[in-house]
Amino acid sequence: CRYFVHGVCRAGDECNYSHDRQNDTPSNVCRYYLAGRCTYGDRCRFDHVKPRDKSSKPSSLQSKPKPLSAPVLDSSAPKSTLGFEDLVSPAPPAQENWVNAAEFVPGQNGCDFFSVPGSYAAAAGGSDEPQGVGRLLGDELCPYALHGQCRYGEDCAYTHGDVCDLCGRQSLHPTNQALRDQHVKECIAKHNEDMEHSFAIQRSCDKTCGICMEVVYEKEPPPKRKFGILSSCSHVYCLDCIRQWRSSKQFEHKVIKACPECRVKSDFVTPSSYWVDDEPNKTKLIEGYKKALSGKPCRYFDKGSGECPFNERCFYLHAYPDGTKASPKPKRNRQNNAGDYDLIQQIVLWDFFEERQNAITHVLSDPDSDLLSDFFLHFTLSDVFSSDDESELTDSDY
Amino acid sequence: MANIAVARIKREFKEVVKSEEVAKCHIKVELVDDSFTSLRGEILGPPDTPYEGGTFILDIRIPETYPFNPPKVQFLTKIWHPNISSVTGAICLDILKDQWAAAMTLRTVLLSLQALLAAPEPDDPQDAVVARQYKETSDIFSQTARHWASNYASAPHREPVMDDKVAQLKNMGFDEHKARVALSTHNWDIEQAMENILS
Repeated sequence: CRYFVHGVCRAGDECNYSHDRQNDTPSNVCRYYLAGRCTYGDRCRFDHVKPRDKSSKPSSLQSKPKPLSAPVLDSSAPKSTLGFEDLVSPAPPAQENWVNAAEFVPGQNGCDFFSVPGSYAAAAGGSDEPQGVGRLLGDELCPYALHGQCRYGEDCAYTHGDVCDLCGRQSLHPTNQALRDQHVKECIAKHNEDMEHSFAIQRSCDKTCGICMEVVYEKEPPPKRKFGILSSCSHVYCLDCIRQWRSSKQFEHKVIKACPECRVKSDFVTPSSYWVDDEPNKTKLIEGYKKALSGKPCRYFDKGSGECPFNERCFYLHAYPDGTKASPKPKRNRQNNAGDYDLIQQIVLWDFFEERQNAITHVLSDPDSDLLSDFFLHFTLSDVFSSDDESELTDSDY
Repeated sequence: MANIAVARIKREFKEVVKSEEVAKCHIKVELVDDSFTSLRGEILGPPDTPYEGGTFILDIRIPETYPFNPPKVQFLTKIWHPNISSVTGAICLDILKDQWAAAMTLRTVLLSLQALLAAPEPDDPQDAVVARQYKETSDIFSQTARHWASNYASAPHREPVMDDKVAQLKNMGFDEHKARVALSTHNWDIEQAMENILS
């Protein structure tokens, strides 16, 4: 029980999880830390410690013919770690290969040090072993050398990679050309991503809001440093200002929904942490925004017990408690006694939507709102500049 | 909210002061007090108009909700113009009313007013008398406007005939401004103007 470990389990003796300190140690080590990519750093609630000596001493592999993962294969041997090893260590096919067997490091997925996992499952070290070149035993690079220094130096049982010029780490496999190429490719991709990120900041840092006339990145407090991107033009506003303008009551609809500089009408504002004006990134941002909203339950639909005037056109999620999505309702055209169609069709979704958004973000005491804005902040960051944001989102936001 | 209004006015101030229009003495903004909510604007009458060379003073009041609402602007200098009240100086200009946009600034407002002096909109009048004169007898309108500009906005081009007529009425004991309004309203017919003042 991880709550027990931290001394806060409220279930006490009735807890369904084990309150035996002997059992819980492996799972208390942060798996992401071991893989060298825990995004929480010091704030992580799991332990950031390297694996215990007895399980990680590579020299034992050389001196003893029986590596630590052997008991797993030996059905007669008692399983000391509740089968945890079964899941994570690749099983050598035959006895003679044991000497080459991958060493068990809690939570680690063999040699997967340089391929970035595409999903939570992969990051968590699932048992599915992709059949990649990097999976071959013996191609494993020493994780200690990779992340700094290995105290076994030359004697290390693992391969010490050559230093990569791009990332400055010992991550180039000395003999396997395929792995070298793969690493270089990934390094370049990472580098490009970092560059795009820097360019995005560069692009954004001197932009001035056309309404408050402040430099958006210098606004106080820092959460206000967000852009509100208009869909139809490229004039710069901070999110708060443009939202306030668009929700003004004293002017006509077509005045407030138009850009205050060029008077071109935009249907909606997309929040973004960076200034985006080129078409591909803007499209990506807007689509990502809609996608993010579509995962958030509609407060008006209220899991089926409420009524949302926008039905299937609503950008929020319309789903019943069991998870099934609501099917679109047949459209109703209300007619008045003169035979004219009712104006209900003419309600502009985005007006409604924006107003609701304003209500959400202005109520700062609402914990949900913080979550939502954090989400957008992160979302816009990762979605615009990385292609595999799925895992990012899952890891750090929830 | 007041914060954003004041912060923005301060920024705009710098902008206007640095702008090239100021360098050419076409527009000017100054503070009335330290509050940044009440300002004094100045525009130069645009060339090739009856207002050429005149200096027109404006009273600018910044609402708390600025820039989400327009500033309240009116002419302190008396002016003869279809879209500006000859009595109160109130301005009929769409951007100061329902066509305001939050990205507009004191500078753009002053430039718009300058443009309004150059291009009156008689179909959307503030002063119906002036607008009618503008449409029906545009010569008399131009002369009247020039006469007003020379008397109130220290524009260089005078209208001696009109000055004389005003002087005549003034010598008869009438208030100069009242006499000017009456004469302007009645297309400079002295008898009609006198009747108007006396009635």
